[in-house]
Amino acid sequence: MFSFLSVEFALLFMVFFVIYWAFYQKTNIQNLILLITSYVMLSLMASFLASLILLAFSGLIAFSALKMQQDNNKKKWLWFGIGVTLANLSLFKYYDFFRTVVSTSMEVVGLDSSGLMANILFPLGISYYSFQAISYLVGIYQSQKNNPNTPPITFKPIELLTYLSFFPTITSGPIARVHDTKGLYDIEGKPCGMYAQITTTKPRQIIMPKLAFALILLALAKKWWLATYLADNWVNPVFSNPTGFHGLEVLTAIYGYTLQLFLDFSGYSEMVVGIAMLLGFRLPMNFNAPLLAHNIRDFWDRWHISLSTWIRDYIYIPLGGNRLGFWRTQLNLLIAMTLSGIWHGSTLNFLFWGLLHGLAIFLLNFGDVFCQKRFAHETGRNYLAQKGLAGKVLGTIVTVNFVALAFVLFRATTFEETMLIFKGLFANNNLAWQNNPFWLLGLLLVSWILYPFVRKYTPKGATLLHKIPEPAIYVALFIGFIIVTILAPAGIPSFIYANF
Amino acid sequence: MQHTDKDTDNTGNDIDHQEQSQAVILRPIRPTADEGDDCIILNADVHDEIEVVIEDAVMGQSVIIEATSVVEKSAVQASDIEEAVVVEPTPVVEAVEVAEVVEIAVPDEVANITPIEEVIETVEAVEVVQTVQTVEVAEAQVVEAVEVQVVEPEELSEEAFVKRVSTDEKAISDEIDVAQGVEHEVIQEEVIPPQPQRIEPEVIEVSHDIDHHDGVSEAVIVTERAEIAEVVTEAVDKTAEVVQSEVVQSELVQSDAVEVETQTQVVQNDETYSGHAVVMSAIDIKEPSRTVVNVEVVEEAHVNVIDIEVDDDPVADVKAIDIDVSDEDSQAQIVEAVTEADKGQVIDVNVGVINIDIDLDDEVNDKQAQDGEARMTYLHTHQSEPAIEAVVSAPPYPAETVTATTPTLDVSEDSIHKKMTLFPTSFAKPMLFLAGSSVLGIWVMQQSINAYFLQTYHKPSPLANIDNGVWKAGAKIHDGLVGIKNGTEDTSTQASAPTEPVQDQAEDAITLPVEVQAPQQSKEEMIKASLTLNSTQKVFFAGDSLMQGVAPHIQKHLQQFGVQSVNLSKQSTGLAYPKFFDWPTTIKDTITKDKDIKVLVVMLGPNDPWDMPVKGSAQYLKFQSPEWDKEYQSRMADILNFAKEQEVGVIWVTPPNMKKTKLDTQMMYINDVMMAELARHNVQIVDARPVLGSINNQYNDYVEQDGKKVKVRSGDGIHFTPNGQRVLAQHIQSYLTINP
Repeated sequence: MFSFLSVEFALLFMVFFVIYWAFYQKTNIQNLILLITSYVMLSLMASFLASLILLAFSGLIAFSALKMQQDNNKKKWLWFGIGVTLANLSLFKYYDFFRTVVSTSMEVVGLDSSGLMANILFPLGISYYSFQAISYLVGIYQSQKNNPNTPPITFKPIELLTYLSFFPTITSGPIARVHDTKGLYDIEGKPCGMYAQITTTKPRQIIMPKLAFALILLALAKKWWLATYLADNWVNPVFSNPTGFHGLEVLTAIYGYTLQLFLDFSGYSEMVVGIAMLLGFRLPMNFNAPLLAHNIRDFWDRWHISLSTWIRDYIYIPLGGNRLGFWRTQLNLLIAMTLSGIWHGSTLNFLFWGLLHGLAIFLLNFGDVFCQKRFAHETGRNYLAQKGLAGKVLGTIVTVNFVALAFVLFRATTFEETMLIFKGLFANNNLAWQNNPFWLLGLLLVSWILYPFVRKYTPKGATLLHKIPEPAIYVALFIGFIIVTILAPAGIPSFIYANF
Repeated sequence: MQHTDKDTDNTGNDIDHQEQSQAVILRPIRPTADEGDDCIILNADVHDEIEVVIEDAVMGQSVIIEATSVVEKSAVQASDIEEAVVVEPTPVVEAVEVAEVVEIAVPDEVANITPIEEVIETVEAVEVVQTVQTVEVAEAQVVEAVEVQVVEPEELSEEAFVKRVSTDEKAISDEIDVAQGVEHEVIQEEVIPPQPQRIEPEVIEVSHDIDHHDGVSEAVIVTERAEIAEVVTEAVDKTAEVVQSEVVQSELVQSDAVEVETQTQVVQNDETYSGHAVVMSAIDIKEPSRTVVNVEVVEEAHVNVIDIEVDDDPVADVKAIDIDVSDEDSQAQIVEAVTEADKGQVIDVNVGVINIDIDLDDEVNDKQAQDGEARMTYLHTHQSEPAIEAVVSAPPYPAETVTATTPTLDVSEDSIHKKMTLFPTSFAKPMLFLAGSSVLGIWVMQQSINAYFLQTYHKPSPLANIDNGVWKAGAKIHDGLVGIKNGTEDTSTQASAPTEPVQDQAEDAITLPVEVQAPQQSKEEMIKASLTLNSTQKVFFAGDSLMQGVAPHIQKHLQQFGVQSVNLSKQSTGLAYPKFFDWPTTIKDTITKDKDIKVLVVMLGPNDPWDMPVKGSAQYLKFQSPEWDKEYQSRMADILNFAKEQEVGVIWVTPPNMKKTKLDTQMMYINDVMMAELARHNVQIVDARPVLGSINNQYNDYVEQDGKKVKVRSGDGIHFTPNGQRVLAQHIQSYLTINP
């Protein structure tokens, strides 16, 4: 299958790379090349139909943006655009969910539902371009509302198509926003809105190519080798038959799954960032060591950052954010987190998963108020973490365990399956081990302890890297690539988040 | 080290400090220390200290230097007061050398002797020389506009000199605004062809005050980034012993790092000590850093330090600024232009610059004129390469050398067009890496790629037929690496040993019809007996991704009875491509090793409806041909006969209907081929079609269970939903009899 990890992609990318940079003096031609390539890639990765749907969708978004500028009733056209987006999203994403409902109700009234039985393949990346479209439309609306006299920042048609179909991000993000956004920064910590990058007429340059390749290699190692190793050896066997394993092995699988998700998705995001850098684009970093978060709010500031900032800006803040008092704030949080859960999947498990995280943040906020009143702490926020290393470590342990246990809901698709896993966790203590869970648990613990230090000294290491001659770095990158391909299990891994 | 005082000018001539005083350019370089203080007042006796302070000044911090006395060799007069204010760079600029406003008090005598323009000029020249080198070298240097304010002696007003060069492509040449009304021309001009990046070895003689035994360690200290110049300068100031230092090699090892190898000799008390050091200097991503590549000591106490600053900002725009260097005025402009280039602009200087240092002594000029040459420093830059970070200073003496190293300027109009490069400067290396690693990667991974190609396109890979020793060596490297991996990991489940000769098996298969004759009743009983096991025995699952979904449910069921199981099912596998995954061998190995295995459950087929390679033949067997059927059945027979020998019962699950018509037709064909072979053996056949809701051999998403419709197939029309997996699992496990 055609994916970023396939041989076909690598070959196609190289051809594209040469053509793309041959036009480096004309960014508008580069944009056109990018657009065509993105549609070709989308057709190859998903289907021709998927690219047609995207084209039609982009057309409607452009239409809605245009109407917003011409018509006085701007709100109407904003809602039109959002409506189109949501309809597109729900039609494909929740098709299975709705189909069963519709088909059952049709049968109740005696209608033939066989026409509905045709399956529609889920067009790849639909969630991600939907997010980008909404951020674009809301941006125009707000700009017109706040500064009615200045024309809003809008893309030209080709630019909009390029933006919405930008192939590095289309399958699984990161969600690249139109404008610079608080909280979304590139690898150098700079804001990285797409508008300026797409509409620029200044020739683009490959951004830090060695680092870009290093990111791609890191991504391959994380995703292709480590995540697949965890999945094949420690996670999948246990999750598919939880009652057949010792409780400790089930626990190992639960931790393993959290790590697998992290490696898989952060690796993927880094690969996308690396590919974009090779094209002269800066994309936001999507992860910032979430497994070192010292509370659940901190976790969401570090996990899938482009999604959580999107939810903050387009769900939480429009609902009122924290401006309407403590209780309303908590309600807004719960709504936002639950919607985030539903976005991840149409089963009830995902809804509960989102709700659980929402409740955890609610509890944390409640704790803040308590700390504020009881200890006269200024805001009460991060009270535990500020009490010193022990507090921070304790907070991190609690947070990561909560996150890992909550991900069980994420992995198991039904309530029964979830219960089976927890049953396996606590009940099967007479079974023999199939693997030695202490080995992996020990390894995870050591890595976890070393992780903060590794992060701390990475910049220093990067400085040292500069002293290494460039050819040596490239040779090392190549050797690393070969090692990863040798170590990685055979086959092209599927990507967990692409389904969401 | 930025100043040019008594030390030397670039011509290597002494400057007479008795008559004139030279204002010192204070250039904050890396503001780091003392962030809390607003102002540092320093009573500076030693010139070097002044610089250190300035260098350490924080942005926005004023540094007032009250030089009450002057170091012997310094040009700073006793009463001079200099103030350097490090101003904030424009907000957009990050990690850039700090822009500065330098106020220079020009003493009356100087103003009288030299017209103010000339002083300014000179000041700029200093600035220019240093900055040009700085900028020039950078691959992507972002230079903040610099305002040089020259304060008139009496008024100390702001009347000054403001120059600015636009980044606008068109306006490079015409935006120089000189307060004094001096017009300068900047002419787009010439491009020097790419120069080799190697810097010629040079001999350096330094007077140095280092400890005699520390010749080596001093040399090492020198290796600290950007310290060479200081050490040398200091050495000159505090002349003690003689160090003979030779730059053995100085090479630009990459676009942002320079390696300088030095051989140093220390002579003290008639003893000679020698040291050797290699300097590697680099820049990090965010912060510009200085890299001293070349220290040249013309003669004792005459130090000319060329330092280089590199700022790696690859996003920045690349623009070439070419300037006519025919007269001194424009030389100053060059530097000015480069210095004042706007943020975001990379100066890719394609010009030879005559490096005219400040020279306040007329005599020196005369002498220079007599010598007939100005020392020239050439800045070389490619068009297609990232700017070369090397400044080559030709040794001033002997004169022949100068002549020899003086490049001629290419002023032909053609050279202008060379700037329109086909690819951006940063393109070559990444592309080379991509292409190189792809070729090498394909070379090493050729077997995997061939297997992948076969599996995906169902044709032999175009690389498979290359019969060349060098090419095949890549595969051997791969095998070696895999061998190392397997040696350390000890995984033996994924055996991929070659299949046994297929022809023999085919014959075996044909000689088996005896079983078909077996009476129906006894056959069923025999099968039931073969599928009866106790809790010490195991069930072995072999299959593709469909089996991967189903097997865990059966495993769960078996677990209740204490029956262990082995599940080796693997996605994308089948019987068609043993080179990719060899099920017959894997099954044989597994059963041979684990004597507890009593039952084998097989589910294969969906990955097989393609033309099939046969060992020993270049031709593929065509799918849906009698030869293909025979070969496929022989591979099945290979498994089934072995199982029979080992007294392992077999449940064989045939492929279900598929949603896509073409795949469905193919599966039904394979179904028939399988059924024909299975009929010859005493094995339990599970036809997955009716179990998964097919009616009249038609695909169906749903199964009726207790009057409710249960979805059993997933969206792709191939795989099963969890419910579907369960339905099929329950059906399969119903054939197993478990004795306590």
